[in-house]
Amino acid sequence: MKAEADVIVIGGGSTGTGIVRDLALRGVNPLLVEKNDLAAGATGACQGLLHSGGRYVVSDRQSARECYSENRILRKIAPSCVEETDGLFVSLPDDGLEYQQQFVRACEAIGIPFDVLSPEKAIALEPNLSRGVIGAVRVPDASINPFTLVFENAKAAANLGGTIMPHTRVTELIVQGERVKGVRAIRPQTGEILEVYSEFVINAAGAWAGEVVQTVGLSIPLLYAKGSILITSRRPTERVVNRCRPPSDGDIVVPNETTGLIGTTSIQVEGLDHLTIEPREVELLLDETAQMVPGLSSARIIRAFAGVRPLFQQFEVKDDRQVGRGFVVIDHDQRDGLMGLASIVGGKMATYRLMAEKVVDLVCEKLGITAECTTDREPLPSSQKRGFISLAERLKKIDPGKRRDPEKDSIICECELVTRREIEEAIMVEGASDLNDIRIQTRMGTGPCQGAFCVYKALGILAEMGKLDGSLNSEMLKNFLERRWRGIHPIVAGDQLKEEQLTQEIYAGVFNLDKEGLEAKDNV
Amino acid sequence: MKYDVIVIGAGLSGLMAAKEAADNGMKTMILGKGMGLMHVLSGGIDLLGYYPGEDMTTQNGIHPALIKLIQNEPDHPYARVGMEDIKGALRSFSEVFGPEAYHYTGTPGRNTTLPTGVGTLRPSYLVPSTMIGGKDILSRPTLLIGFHGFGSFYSVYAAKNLMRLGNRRGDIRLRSEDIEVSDIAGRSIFKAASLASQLDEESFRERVAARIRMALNGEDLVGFPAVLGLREAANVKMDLEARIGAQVFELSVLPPSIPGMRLFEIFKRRLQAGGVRMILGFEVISAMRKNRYCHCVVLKTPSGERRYEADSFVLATGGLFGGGLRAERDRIVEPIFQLPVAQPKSRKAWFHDELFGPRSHPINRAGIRTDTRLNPIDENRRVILQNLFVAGSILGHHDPTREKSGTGVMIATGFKAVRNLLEK
Repeated sequence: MKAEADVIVIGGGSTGTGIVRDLALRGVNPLLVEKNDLAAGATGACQGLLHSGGRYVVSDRQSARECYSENRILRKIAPSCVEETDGLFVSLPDDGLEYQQQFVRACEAIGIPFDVLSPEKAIALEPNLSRGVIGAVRVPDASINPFTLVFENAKAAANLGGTIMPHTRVTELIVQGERVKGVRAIRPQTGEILEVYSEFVINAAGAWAGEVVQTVGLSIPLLYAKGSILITSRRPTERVVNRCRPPSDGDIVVPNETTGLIGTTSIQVEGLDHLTIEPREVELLLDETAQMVPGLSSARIIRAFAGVRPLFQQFEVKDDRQVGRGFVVIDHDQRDGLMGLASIVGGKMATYRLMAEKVVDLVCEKLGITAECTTDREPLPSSQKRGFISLAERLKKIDPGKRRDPEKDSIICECELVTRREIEEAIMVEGASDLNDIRIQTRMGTGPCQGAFCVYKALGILAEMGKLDGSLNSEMLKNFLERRWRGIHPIVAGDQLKEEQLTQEIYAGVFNLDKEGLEAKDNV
Repeated sequence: MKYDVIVIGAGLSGLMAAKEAADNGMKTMILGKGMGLMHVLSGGIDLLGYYPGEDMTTQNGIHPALIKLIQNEPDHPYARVGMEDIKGALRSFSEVFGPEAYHYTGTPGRNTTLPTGVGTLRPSYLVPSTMIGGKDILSRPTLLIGFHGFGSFYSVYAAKNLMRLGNRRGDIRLRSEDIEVSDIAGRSIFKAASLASQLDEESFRERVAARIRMALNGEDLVGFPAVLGLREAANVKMDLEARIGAQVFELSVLPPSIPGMRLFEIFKRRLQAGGVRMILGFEVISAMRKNRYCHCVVLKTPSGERRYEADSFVLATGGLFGGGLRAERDRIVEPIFQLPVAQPKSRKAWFHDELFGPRSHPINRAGIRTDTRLNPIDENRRVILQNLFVAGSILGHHDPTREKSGTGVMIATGFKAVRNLLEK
């Protein structure tokens, strides 16, 4: 297949989808290609923190300033993705209060609003905090759902005529003379080969940005820092709780809808594949964060995941936390003499909009487009605030009085109260085509049983709606279970391990999926 | 009041042990927290579906495979039981059904392969009389029936997957159809147990049968999710067959397992009729011991702790899923007697990276170390408690879900634990 677009964007994370939306708003016709699902890289593996800037305020004022300004913008333009939780930076006896003083001075200098709280006040606000807290500072941290954010940006771009193509892997950049003219790509699910021509290509492939430009003999020096995060079965706190000390392992707890995210580690890794979570990382995260929130030492951990932060490496450093969290726009014309190509690397999810703005500014300048960026004021499509966690909100949708159709309103995912109607809508309206899409859009399978029951039900619904190719059925089920397993086996113990045994009882024990294709052949 | 035998655990191994003890005139009591794995059983009783570590089925005959297993894997629970007592255990199991029309069946020495609710095929040794018809699913024109409003079985999905398997073997005729039916109260959303008890009612069955008569298109075999009656399954099957005019079978679906619940109820009736006292719903939390003998166990109830004395005890509390073993963050423990647990050397070695990879997860083989008499032993192979016998999944040293040997091990070791106890 051949196609054309004004600008091709490679990468479907927060940056890439932010870029296509920005381009589309400026009247440029964009096309986005992503080799995997949307938000499958660092975006989907991030902690879901909308930084107040506090985390970087002492070490990297530039990043802190950007964070705070983006924080204010996203609260306005993306209310459906942001939960305004607030955050605390708490000091424990071992930390002393010296860092807190530096922290407060830096917040003052940059203009991040803060309140210094007494230990009693902090505990009154957040009763699960350790009784040993010696001080706390309140800052406007918030929790953000990176998946919704990416889908919202993609949807906005598509509404404006842009094209979003997940599961499309770029195989090479098309170069004519000294100019990039487009990309060749393959869609592994169908084997289809694609050739798209454009005026400009933006490489927003995050950790994979180096791979993209490698096809034309260029390189981008990136440092990969693996970060592991644990998910708890309940919300451990109502606010984001940070440790008030220089950034380190296990210093943050982020409430996220019905769960909590405990983070994070930072371990330099060589490759991007097979990110494993070591049992010692799990111990470290639990030990450290339990100092702030003691209940976490016995919390039920339902899942762990690891992502790679692609840090732009300008010079040799020992500790990867010293590499700036800032971002860099590379104009390959200026740097390498190759026209029609820009890369954007580094940065973080919370500043995705600003990153998009900067790279789109550069591209518009190159293409002679004068339209201004409006993403700082134009709200995303679903501008309605969501009721995130209250039980009342969640029960409302299954209120028997409001059930129009008993089958459609029946609950498929009992942990997260997801109804059949919601799953059907994710498939019909939002175009979900596999279990992972459904999970991201509905929270199906994200509760304590981690999909043990609902994954089969969702497949059944996909089959009933004619969305399954018969030859892929069991593969899809197995892939989902294998993928979920990666996040589970490093952390599982206690009651959660019983849940896991149940999953094996069902899918290997009852359904014999482990031996599929190896059935007793001469008996039938 | 002192018992001859107290069985701790009301799963299949505990029920089997209690049956054997009562049949031999012992004053017997069961203390059970739940019903073990009964509600997640596939329905069949497995002996050995796959030789450990091999993908090949035991299709060439189960007995040679078991003999090889007993020789080569001396720590496997089957090696503790021996061939003769495995057979004895199966005979004893079949007695449980007595005159009941609902019973287990199969071909001596061979597995029967049945379809499952996800459209895979699964070998089992003894299968309920209501499920046996499924063995012909790929050779006879078959209609799979689903119920709208019953979310544990999707007939389209199962049929599609079975077609895919079947098409490798040549032409098969398999269709699926979902029927809409509501109970007398007008409800049309069903959980497994409510649908099963509705099907125990004749009027509901007739409404179901009427829909199926409409849907039939020459098929002479009709498959249902395994919810055909809670109390009268054999009768429900026969009655439906008469009303539909085709052979009927059930296939295993997502838990809770109705065939497992039936089995539990049948055992319970049999044991209570045989004078076994059952206290269900509470947990045994500790035991009191003296000189290598256990003399009483402590049951935790809302009104306080209660002690029960006996001459002998059977520990049949299940594995990691049943709660007989508990995984702390970095080690596996046995919570009642603090028996040593054979387990992987470190936390890191519990699992493999692939869930369904070729090797079984080492943690799934964790269990209590016993001597050949099923008495628990310490690191120096000394018996820890002379009058405690261990049975069922807690024995470890096998991988029930991979080998498809779980229910067979439960029956065989529950039986054998009591045989050993009687020989004392």
